[in-house]
Amino acid sequence: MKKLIIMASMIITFLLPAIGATTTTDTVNEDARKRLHQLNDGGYTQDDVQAEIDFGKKLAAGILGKTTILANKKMNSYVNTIGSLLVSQVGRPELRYHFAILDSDDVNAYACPGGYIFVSKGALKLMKNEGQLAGVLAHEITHVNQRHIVKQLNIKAKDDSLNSNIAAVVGGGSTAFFTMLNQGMDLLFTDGLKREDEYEADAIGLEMLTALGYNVRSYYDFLEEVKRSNEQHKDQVMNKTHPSMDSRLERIKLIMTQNGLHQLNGNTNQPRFSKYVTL
Amino acid sequence: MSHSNQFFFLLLTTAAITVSSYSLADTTHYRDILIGGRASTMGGAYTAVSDDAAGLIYNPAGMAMAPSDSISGSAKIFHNAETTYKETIGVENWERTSSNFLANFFGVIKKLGNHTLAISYAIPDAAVEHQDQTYYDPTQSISDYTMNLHTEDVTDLISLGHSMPIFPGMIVGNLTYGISLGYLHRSYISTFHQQVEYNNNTDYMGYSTTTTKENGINGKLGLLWQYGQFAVGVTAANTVLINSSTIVQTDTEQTGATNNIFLKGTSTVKREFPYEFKVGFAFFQSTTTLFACDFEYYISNNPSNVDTWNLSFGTEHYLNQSNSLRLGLYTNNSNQLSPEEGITESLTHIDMYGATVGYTNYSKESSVTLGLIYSMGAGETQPYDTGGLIRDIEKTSISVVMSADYGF
Repeated sequence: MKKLIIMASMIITFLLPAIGATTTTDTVNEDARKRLHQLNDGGYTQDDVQAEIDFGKKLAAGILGKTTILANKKMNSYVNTIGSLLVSQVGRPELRYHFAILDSDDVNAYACPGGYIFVSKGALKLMKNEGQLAGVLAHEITHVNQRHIVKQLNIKAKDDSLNSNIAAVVGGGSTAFFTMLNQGMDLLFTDGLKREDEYEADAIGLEMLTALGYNVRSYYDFLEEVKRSNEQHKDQVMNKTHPSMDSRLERIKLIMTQNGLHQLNGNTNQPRFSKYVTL
Repeated sequence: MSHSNQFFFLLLTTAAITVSSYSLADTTHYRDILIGGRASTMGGAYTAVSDDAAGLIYNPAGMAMAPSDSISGSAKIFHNAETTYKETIGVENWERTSSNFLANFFGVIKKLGNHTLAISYAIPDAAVEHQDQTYYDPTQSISDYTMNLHTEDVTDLISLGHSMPIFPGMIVGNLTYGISLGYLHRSYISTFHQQVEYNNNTDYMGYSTTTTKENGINGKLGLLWQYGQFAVGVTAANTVLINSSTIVQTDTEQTGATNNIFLKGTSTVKREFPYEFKVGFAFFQSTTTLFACDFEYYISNNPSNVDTWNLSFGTEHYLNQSNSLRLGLYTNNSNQLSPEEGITESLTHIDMYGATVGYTNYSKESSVTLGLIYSMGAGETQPYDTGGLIRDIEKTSISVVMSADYGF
């Protein structure tokens, strides 16, 4: 009987992941387990920022290894102008931001640490005005500004302390950078960032649009377009890496209503958008 | 040979057999060596914590809670165990000491999306004992008694583990599952030489060697539920030996004896390991303070052992962002009954109690821990196979632990 109970409990436990596992980006909330030395105190050094830029540069190179930049200087220049306008107001002064269009029909945008931001040709095709483009770029800039990937992967300058050297004897330190790069690619193309980070990027992005006089509603409209596109193209990367569009739209609507943003008549700059974005 | 000489000769001869079968890395306790820098300095109260590579040993479900990939290594830079058998050599105590250096844990955690994979190498039990002792006039009939004992008993465990969240969004809090499968290898070698010189100018010499090799599989299943600051972990584990081989050779010579005795015996009988069940609770009070406790229950599968349990408590407190202290208390109860007068079963029963303290210094991605583990206990033993005589026994053990962790 005793053995039977043991066997049964083992079988049940073996089956648990099959019953309960999902392929979504649900992750364990480790916040309650955060230990003091793991807290990010915001005290990033110049070396840490440089490590972030170096990492972002390599991650961007990884993206460009998958997809090339769209061969349209005028359109890239336009996206850069709008991006630069946003970061001139809300960017991190220690970073130099870069914006480019990926020659991909997939509807998505990517933000690499250090300020390397890409928006896909597929996403631009869905956009109807500059307010929507600004909304997407503001969302991605927030990922950079809030160091979402940096925090998730704990990207910092090399630790030359005695502790680190002792730990290096244990082994593995030299492979850490490349391991992180792989993780960074996984975050962008497979696993996605934390849900909370995506919601935060939407919320702060809305603040940016408001501050710069853009029509906030245009970003909401664009996400509705993306939702329709995602439903038609289930294999789009965004379906794997982002929270459900319904949950994002619901939260954005709430923010707009609570702050009266839906009553503001900001600019969409549709004519300028149509002049430069010709797809 | 007088009657008293014969009796003592018998005691010494049988004591040799007893020593050969009872190692200081004993199989009568399950927590002789605590593993992992953080875990061991919290008294091993880690079933509900386990968010690093040591989770493979304590609760594989905890590995899904690890904040990042990491490499951990720990070593007992000094380990000393002393066992005193009271009034066992005549009226004198028989003291046995085991000292060794043990690199006893190395583990790596790799997170792949929702999945956490880990591999570790651990030494869950080990003893290296060397004794050269001479007792002068231990009894009226014996002028001196010399023993030379060398024992090496090491158990290695290589484990692979997997952990991931389950039922996300379907229950309150976070639930994770984990499994670890390990290959266990034990190597036991003991040589024992003893010489007795009697006052009537006769002598006795005995020599014995014992070697044991065991190979087995260790499986552990775990669940961990985290709800806010509280966490509960449970595990079930068992080890099954695939094969076992023991060879005992004994050679005795005695002045005036017509036949010197040479015996060789082999055995392939496999030890039965207990079913292990653990439940642990942890309270993450804040980023600076953690409390944890574990209860373990072992259901014996071996007729010579009994069910037993252990309890442990641990706490971690950060002094500041770079330094933390840990304290722990734990039991290491015997899985044997207390010996009874008149019944000869060569039983040894010592319930051990231990205390741990640890200090960790953190830098950006790495940390170094120094710790001290002390345990002590007293009980009763039957050191001889004949006569069923019971003697008091005391044991103390002290370990200095050093560990390093690298997170990336």
